[in-house]
Amino acid sequence: MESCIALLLRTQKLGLNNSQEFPSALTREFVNSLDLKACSFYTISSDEQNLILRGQYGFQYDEYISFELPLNTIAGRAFKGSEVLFENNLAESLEYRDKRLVDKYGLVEIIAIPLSIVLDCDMNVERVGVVCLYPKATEKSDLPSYIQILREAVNLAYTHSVERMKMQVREKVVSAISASTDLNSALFRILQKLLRNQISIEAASIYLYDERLRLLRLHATTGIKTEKDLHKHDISFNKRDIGFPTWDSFQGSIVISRSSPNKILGSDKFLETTKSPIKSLLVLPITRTSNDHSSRKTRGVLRVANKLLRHENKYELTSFTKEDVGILSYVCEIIGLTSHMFLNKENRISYFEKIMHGTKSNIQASIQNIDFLERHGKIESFMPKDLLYTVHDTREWLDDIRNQMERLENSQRSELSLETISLTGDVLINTIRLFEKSAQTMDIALARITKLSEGGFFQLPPVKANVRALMTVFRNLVENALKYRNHDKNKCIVKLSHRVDSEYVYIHFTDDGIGIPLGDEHDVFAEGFRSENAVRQDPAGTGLGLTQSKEIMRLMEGDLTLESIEPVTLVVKIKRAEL
Amino acid sequence: MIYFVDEDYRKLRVLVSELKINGFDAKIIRDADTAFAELSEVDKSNVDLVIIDVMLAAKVNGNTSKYSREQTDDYHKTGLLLLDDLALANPSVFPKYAIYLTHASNDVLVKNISISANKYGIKMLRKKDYDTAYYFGEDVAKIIKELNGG
Repeated sequence: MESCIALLLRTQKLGLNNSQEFPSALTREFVNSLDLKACSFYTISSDEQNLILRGQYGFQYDEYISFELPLNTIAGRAFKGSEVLFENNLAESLEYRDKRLVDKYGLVEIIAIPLSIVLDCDMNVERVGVVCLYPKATEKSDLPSYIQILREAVNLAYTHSVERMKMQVREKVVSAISASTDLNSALFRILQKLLRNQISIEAASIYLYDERLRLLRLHATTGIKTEKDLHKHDISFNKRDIGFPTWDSFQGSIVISRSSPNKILGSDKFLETTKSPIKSLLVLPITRTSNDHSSRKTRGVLRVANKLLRHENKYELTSFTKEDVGILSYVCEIIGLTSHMFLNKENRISYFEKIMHGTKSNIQASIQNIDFLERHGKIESFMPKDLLYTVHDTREWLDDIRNQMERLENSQRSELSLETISLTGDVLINTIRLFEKSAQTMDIALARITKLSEGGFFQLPPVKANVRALMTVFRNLVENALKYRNHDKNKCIVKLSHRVDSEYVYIHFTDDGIGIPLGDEHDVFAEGFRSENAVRQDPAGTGLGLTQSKEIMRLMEGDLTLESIEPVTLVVKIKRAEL
Repeated sequence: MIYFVDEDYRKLRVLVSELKINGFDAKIIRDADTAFAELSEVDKSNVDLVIIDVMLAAKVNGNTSKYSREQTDDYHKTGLLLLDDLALANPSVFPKYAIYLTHASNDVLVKNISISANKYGIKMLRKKDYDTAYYFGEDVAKIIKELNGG
């Protein structure tokens, strides 16, 4: 009795393994504790046609005919009837098919215990498999007397291990998503995790529905085998593809497709590349609950091919088990949520880009119109002189908006096209002009900036940069110098100097403004950060200008750094062009 | 004289011009501290209207300023505090001759401005409502007329 209780406790403990490790651990424990010759652990395939060997202890794997066991066997009967079965004459039993095991190991008796997952506290269960025990002794042991208690313990422990497995898969999938910045890379990472982990699938693909084009588009795959060369966007399904597992599953059901000896797999339109010929497909719908939780909508499908079982030197493709489907369904839910979030984000970015594009065009047109009027002297002819500032102000605001948009756009890019340019001719001259013009429209009493001809700027070597992007950086520095000038004195003096080494040109930009308070110097490039004195002078600023400018300089293989805080000196580091 | 208390000098210029075209004198005061210093002693006879921007700058040197970042919620409601101070310091002019002018879109802030405007019985104008300076000038003229019993 004491040893029975000890075994029950040890069985419970095995539930700390995930469901992939549990079968081996349990069969080993049972063989050692119950004086068995061997023990096998089977779970049912998702189509409930076969029991799949998940673990065993005591036999050589090579002795098995197959890791798949049909249901017209003792184990199958125990599974179907949900009753423990005892068979005392394996040699004669027609239901026992692995006679080689009987001969080699002298098997006489089998006890087949149905395995279930406990669904709730009322012990409602879902049958999932069978555990087969092969006792050593032919005489009666006390095992039958506590077999029912043992069965309950195994069921509870296995239930825990399945939950544990789900948690582990969730952790891996979520970490794959959080390491990704876009939908396709997130989905690809999820597939990699599935392939490398306990599910042991051979290949997989994810299709998502494109509402606009009304087709299921391939978003991630471990490799698709197609008969002809197709572009990735051609590997899709639409409503004409009824009958193909992928499209059928998109209608909301789990589709299992499997080849038999006489039949090549009821094939899909495109299949994954696998080492072994495709034998089984499992296609699961990816769904997402609506925001008000009232309905679920299918967003796509996850298709997996070939469940692989490798036991020592034996290797076999088997059916997907019920647990596999459970875990993959769970993964599908996460994919549904993830794809919704990413697509939502990507759609918003796309709308935003369209709005930016339209706004930029309008601004550009307005600037060109004002320019045209100015150049042809039309404005002066009808505008009172003291109100001419309105035209200049308007032009400058339009310029500001356009440049802020450009700066935002550039800082969000992953790369910028660089070319060899003249820093002084292409950028610094325009910076000086911008400073002088802005100072004029801002009515600054004393505004001065270093003359380029006096500072040796025309001797600077060519640099590698993007002119427009670099100009947005210098524009930001000029705007800051003017905006954060000392208002009491209403003056702004900017000093430019330069330094050159073998790799970079450094432009030092110093202003005599309100400065940066001591202690804030480490935060000036942080997104959204604003010093106390800057907020006091201009409460409406965003604190994004320097962050974006630094990012742009990094994209151009340079940098933007703060050299001193009183007076403020910023250093623009620009990569020299190769000679 | 119409006083504009707003740091955004350039964006106000056209409104100031519009008011001048309508026959008013107008002056811009850039920050809350300067505004308090000047308006706490201004005589009623010299004031037509004081237009106070709510998100308003203060003097850069915190040691010489009445207004702190914490007190003003990052300078988002400096104008509300300024009017409270002016109402105590110069009750013959404030709050009666003041109005709020704001670009705020944040619901909480708009509600706070509205509460303060109701408390003092003054108007609150939204910058977004004025696509043209002309209508702004027209509304300001109407408010001044009402204040003068007309």
